[in-house]
Amino acid sequence: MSPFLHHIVVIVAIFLTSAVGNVALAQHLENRGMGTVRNTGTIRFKSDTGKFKNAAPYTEFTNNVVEFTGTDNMFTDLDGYPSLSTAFGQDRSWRVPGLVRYKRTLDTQNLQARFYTDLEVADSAGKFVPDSVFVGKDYTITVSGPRTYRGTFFYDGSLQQTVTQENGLSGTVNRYNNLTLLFSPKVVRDSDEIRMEGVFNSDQFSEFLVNGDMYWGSRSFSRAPIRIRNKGSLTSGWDISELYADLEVEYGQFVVPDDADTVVVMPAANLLLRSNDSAQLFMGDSTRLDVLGLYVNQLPTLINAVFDTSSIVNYNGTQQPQVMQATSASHPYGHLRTAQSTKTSNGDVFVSSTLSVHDTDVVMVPHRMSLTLGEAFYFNDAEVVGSFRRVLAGADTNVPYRFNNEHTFMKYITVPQELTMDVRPITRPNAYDPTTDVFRKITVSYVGAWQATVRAAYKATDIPTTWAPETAERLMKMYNAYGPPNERAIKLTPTVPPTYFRKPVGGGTGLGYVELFGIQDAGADNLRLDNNNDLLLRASRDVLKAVATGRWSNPFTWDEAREPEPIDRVIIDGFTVHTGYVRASDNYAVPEAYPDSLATNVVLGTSPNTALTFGSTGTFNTFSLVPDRRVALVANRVGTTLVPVDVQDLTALPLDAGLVVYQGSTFITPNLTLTLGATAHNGGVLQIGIP
Amino acid sequence: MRWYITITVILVVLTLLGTKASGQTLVNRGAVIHIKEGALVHVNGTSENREGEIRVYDSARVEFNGDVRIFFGGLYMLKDSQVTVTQNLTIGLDGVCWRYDPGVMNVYGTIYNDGDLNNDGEINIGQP
Repeated sequence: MSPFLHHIVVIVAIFLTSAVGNVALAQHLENRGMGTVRNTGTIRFKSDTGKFKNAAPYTEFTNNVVEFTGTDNMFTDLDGYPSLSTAFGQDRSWRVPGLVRYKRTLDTQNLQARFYTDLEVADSAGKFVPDSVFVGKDYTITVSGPRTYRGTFFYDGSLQQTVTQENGLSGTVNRYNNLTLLFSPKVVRDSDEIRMEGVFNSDQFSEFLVNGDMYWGSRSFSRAPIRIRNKGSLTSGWDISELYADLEVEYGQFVVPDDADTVVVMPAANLLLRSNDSAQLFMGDSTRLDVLGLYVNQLPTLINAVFDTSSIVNYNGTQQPQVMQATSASHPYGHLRTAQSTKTSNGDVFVSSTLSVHDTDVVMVPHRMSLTLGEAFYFNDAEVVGSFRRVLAGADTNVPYRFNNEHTFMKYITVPQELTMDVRPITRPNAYDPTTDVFRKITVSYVGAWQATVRAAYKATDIPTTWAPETAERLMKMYNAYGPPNERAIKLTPTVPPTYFRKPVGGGTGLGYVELFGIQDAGADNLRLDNNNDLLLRASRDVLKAVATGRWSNPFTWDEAREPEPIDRVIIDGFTVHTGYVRASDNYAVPEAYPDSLATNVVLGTSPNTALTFGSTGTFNTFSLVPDRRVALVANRVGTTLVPVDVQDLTALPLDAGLVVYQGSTFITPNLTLTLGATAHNGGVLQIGIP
Repeated sequence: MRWYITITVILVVLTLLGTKASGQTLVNRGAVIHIKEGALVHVNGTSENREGEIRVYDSARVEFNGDVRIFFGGLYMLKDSQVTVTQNLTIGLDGVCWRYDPGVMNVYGTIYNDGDLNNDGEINIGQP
């Protein structure tokens, strides 16, 4: 480089350095280590980068108003650092005293993340509110341009504070993002509306007094009581809301809007609706309320709580018992779910959609569970103890409508208006016989005519130890049992033969049940279950009666739809029962289960067509009553038909013959009594006595 | 060559003059200076209050066109007076700057405070 150019460069550099030094005048307030600032007026920073720099102790600054009008004004220490130093507002102990006002007309203005005492935003410039702005007293919005919130805005004063209205409808412009309340009660003023986008938090000191309208954003975690008053409303967000402290609706609304997620009433918390028509709860479409604590509605009419049919109220607490809140018939729960512990209720509970009972029982005594046509689901053998009503208007036929447990249902042929089953395990039913009956009271009441297949379940714990040896679950039958003063039970055999379907519990866990088709509200004794009578489950070994012409081994020959067992006593009167071969009457080919011990006693009646015949199928040709000297066959029928005993009658016709033993067949009975004129036809071997 | 050296020296001198106001235009060593009754005062250059007071009253207008340094004593602005400092205001350990209400003090530069800065009115720092 030539000497000339070198000089030019040096000169220009010196000049520019000096010029910049003159023009770029720093525009701060530097309060140095020994300085004191007492401001009862306004200190205004007008440049975009002006800073309040401080190195003095906290007490050396008192303030009325610091006003920032630049785009990026800040509080820092003398070195320009905003934290871990003597910068005002860096933490709670260095909270900026007095009011800090961000006031600007043009462009946008960035607020500094600080601990403020009072904060104001003013004039038309947009304001960017960063994460971690803390306000200890008042946050004021004075005709401000749009505020854009990022991160979390804190109200952390030690005295009651008002949460300032921001009610943008979406996003984070003029609408809080996250909002956290700390250290003291906070208020939403009457007629104010506060909306937020993100997460709501409150600590255990920040009772939240909602006198206006509060809209949560996404998730919410409330750790201090919330009180909705003065027609205020609180609307939950679209994500989970957890109430760790009470939410009390005194006069206003708690709204869980359509498609909002779950509101959880945590174990120590209560959701309280005070006794006021205007203390209201609204559960919207597809919403859920998990009650781990308590939900209490103190309004006697209960019409202040509204549940969409698709909403779920889930009583999931572990307290024993957890008390469910009653509802009104006109304002039922949508879906109701219970789990974790035994539930009781403080009144009648109405459910419009489904009931789902998990793990543990719901004890409704002395109240009533009421469900319309929705499903009732039961898991792990849980059941509803007490009264379970079904409102059945519009119900389908041939669809099972469950009542108190998984295996207690009715499948209607004729649908009543409503029907209630009051099921009480380990409770004495009407006409109870401890040697034969299930110790479970099932009371049926109804409005309207009905006919149905009825299935009733029981548990092993309902089977008393007092059962007689001959009593057995596989003999379980249903009875129409009358209460005092004239207790009696009438066996239900609505069809001939009855269609009993049984599943014994066998002393294990789970539910056993018995099912019978054709029970109805009116008609003959054998098919009628009277209103308010008990459905008694009796496992007695009754005398079996033939109710159809058919084979001995065919269950449908007998009135209990089962083949006689050795211990049974049997009456055949008016029907022809054949043994050991197939006839066209039923074409039943299953061999007799106990050919050498068919029964204990057999009585052939006097009615026409009474016959007991013994034939053979190959080597299956020998039959015997129980070989006991007290066992007998008593034949009373005076047959009118001379039966050819060398050829088995294979037709479907009844035989009016009394006792018949065909050629090739053997029948053994310890005793045989033929009454006067009774007929016995023997072409095979008829052996009397024990060999 | 000599011509270039001459130019260089001149520019350096001019630059230094522009950077630093040489000497003090106003130095108060113990007096009480009253500026009252709507007076209009311009001080071009650096002002130093080494002792005593400068008191501005009664809607008076004072413009310090340069730095103001208050080492001892103070600058008191009362009764709707208006004071403008176009450069920096430095308040020393024993200095006081007191802006009473009503009234405005404008400091276009930085306020360096080692003493007492009291404001009951308005202080504007910097320029947009």
